Amino acid sequence: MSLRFSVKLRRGEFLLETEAEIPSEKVTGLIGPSGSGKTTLLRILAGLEPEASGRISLGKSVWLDSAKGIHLPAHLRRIGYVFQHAELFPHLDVSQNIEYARKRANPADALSRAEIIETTGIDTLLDRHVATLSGGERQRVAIARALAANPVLLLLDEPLSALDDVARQAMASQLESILRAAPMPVIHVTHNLAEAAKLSDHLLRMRHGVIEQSAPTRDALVEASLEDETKAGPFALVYARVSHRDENYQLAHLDTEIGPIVAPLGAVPSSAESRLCIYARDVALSRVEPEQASILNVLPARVIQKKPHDPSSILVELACSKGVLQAIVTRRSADQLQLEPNSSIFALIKTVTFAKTPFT
Amino acid sequence: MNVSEIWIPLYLTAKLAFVSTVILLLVCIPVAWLFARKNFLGKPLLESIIALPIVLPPSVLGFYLLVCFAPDGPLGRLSEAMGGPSLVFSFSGLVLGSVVYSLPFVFQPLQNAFAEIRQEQLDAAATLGAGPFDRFFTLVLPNARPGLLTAAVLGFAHTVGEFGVVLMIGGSIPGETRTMSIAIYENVEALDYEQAHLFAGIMLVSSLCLLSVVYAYGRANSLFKR
Repeated sequence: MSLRFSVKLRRGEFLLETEAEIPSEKVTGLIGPSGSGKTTLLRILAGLEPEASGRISLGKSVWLDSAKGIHLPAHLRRIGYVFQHAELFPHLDVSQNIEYARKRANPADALSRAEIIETTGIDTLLDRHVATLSGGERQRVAIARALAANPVLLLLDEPLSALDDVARQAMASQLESILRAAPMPVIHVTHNLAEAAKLSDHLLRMRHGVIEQSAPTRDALVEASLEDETKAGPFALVYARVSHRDENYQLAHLDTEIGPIVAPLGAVPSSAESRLCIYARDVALSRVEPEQASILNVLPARVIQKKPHDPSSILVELACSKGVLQAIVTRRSADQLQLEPNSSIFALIKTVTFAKTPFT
Repeated sequence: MNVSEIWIPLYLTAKLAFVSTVILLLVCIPVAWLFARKNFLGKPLLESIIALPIVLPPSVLGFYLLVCFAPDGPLGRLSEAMGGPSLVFSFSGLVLGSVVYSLPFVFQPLQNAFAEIRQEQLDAAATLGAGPFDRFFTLVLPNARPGLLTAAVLGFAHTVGEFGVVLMIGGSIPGETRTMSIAIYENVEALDYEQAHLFAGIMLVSSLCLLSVVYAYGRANSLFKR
């Protein structure tokens, strides 16, 4: 089953005219700079833009077909939508907000109330009035409410964008767990490439109202690696599996493509499978294996190639076990270390940096 | 003094205000919703017409209503042709006049309350499966409650305080068109200050009671929302 759309909407100067087909069983990231039309596209898919024309279908159900005069209104499409500002109903408490969705939901294969509360971690919030919730709590309730409507497709419009840094860190790994557990396909909008890489299996890149690329996340990232779309610069996406949880030191031991890695427990989602975004600026290089250093992650690597990064530094691409890693080092260090393609080297990743990535 | 002398105009005033307010709410809620959400040609003109009773002297409004309501006026003839009641010097005419006179006081708070409901809230309800009527009754009306209350209270109070229009189109028929304000005026004209004091006092106290209840309710509500 796949979601196909070919839609058009003009609003003043802005024209959105694009098409794509995405695998609907997975989490799709929709990424692009501000003003590229990401939110508008989501609203068109959800049926919230009555002036949009074209065709939208999910599997056999057709939501929009201008040629045949089909325009299913939003409330009949059964598409869950998590808004940037949550949009909880202020006259209802948290529990009643969830019930509002459940009352109107298709009961077939719906997640139970208990499952939704468990997944989103809102059990302590149920009796609270929505005006008393923090930004992160509000978004969790909004996601719970969207799940409670048992939608056939879940759309998230930058659910982390309205949060402050602290709340965003806390919410990020929770969001990953929630999306992995969601029983329906998800499209997740962000302007942060790292966020999209970590959360999605498929990526759509959008610019000036057009989807320029639709590809599996990995393939999309290869072309994207040098584009500085995140404030923190280039990064490598690493698939990881939790092998051991060290409650004493609050560290997770991960088996990854680039070798064994240790990361803070708080930075790793509760699901066994996970992804890490390792920023090139957080990777240091050493000719010798450091002993008695505070750095926990020391990985043997081999230089693949060097690329210019800025006037004083270069980006080094490294083969590391079965994966790829990137490092930014000064040109001076590169010369001193005599970094050339195929040189053997040790990549050092400071453990605590995982806690800050990828949501900078 | 006869108890019914107080009771009849008091009851008539309350009945007039109540009936007018109910009619106004029923008419204004859908129209104000439309005005709050949609832009269309001629909307500013219609809004101006609705607001006219705020700026027009009641005697001017009363005069035009009298002309319209008279047996040979357009509305008077329409009412007669449809087998309806006479519109001048009758309770029905008074209700119709009050509806016109108090229209902006009910319409504007409703329009403002509806305009404050953000489109995203309605969108959220739609994505949760709520259709247009469902959204209106489960989201719009509950969130517009303070505006509804203000509209109802203003409409009621403004009709209670009506004098010029009643005088022009209603006259002073006991039990039919002789409201409290007319009764007070007549008492003063007849130099019966004792009765005027009594009527005015009743109006003062009952108005104060009504407003106190409304403010107390509003405060309880806003405290609840904090």
